[in-house]
Amino acid sequence: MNTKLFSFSFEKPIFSGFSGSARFLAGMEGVQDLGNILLNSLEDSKNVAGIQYNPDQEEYWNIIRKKIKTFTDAELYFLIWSPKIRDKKIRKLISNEQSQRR
Amino acid sequence: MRFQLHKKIYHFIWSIWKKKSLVVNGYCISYCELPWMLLIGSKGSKSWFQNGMCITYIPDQTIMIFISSKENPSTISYTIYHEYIEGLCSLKQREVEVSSLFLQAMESLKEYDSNIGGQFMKSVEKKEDKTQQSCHCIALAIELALAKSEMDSDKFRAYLENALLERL
Repeated sequence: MNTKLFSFSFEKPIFSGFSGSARFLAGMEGVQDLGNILLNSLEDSKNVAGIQYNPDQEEYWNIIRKKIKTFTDAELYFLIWSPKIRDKKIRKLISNEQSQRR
Repeated sequence: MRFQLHKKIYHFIWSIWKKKSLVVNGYCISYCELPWMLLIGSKGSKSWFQNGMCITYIPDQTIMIFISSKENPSTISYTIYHEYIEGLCSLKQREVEVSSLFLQAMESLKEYDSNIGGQFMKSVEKKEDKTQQSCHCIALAIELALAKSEMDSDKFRAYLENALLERL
């Protein structure tokens, strides 16, 4: 799985769910292409999967694990809104999850 | 502390004040019309408009909309609709609905202004509270799309230009 990570300097996500964020990005200029790719990931395609970091979501890491398990050959698009979350930390955590699946 | 106090006061006002309601774009929206003096100085989600002021509070998943009695009657439904949509952005169970409305609205507005998404993006980038400004842009886009469907072309163009100039 190839992971693409996008981070934004927002205080918190506008929408807590990935699908709302995808629609927001698709409506704005400059990030529209990314938004459209993310919107496609909402369909049943196995090529693209998406998730956003949401520390308030209790089941968060279970969802990530499920995505990594289900979409083994997909590109994983990862959205981070809060500037407090460091990219490196997230990349390391995802990498660890992926290596455990191999 | 001060914010908590304001929240409690507005919660109390909401419970006792006679509420009005308006049906806008299929949504039945309740609101309280308060004297301008009662709204000023509050620290809620606050928006200024040309002829009045509007404040929204969303405790316990209830969108409480308070507007100034000075609000312009000809645009009051758009004001209330805007605040309602902005409130919906914070409700997890309504996210898909709001984001879908936003996407449709942006498609519709591009007929009049192909760079509207760029203007929204710029306004988000320059604000300190980017999340709040994004919710404002989402609500503004949906409000403008409604105005487009209800107003004649010239009137809407003036409304759109004013919104992009004064409210971003």
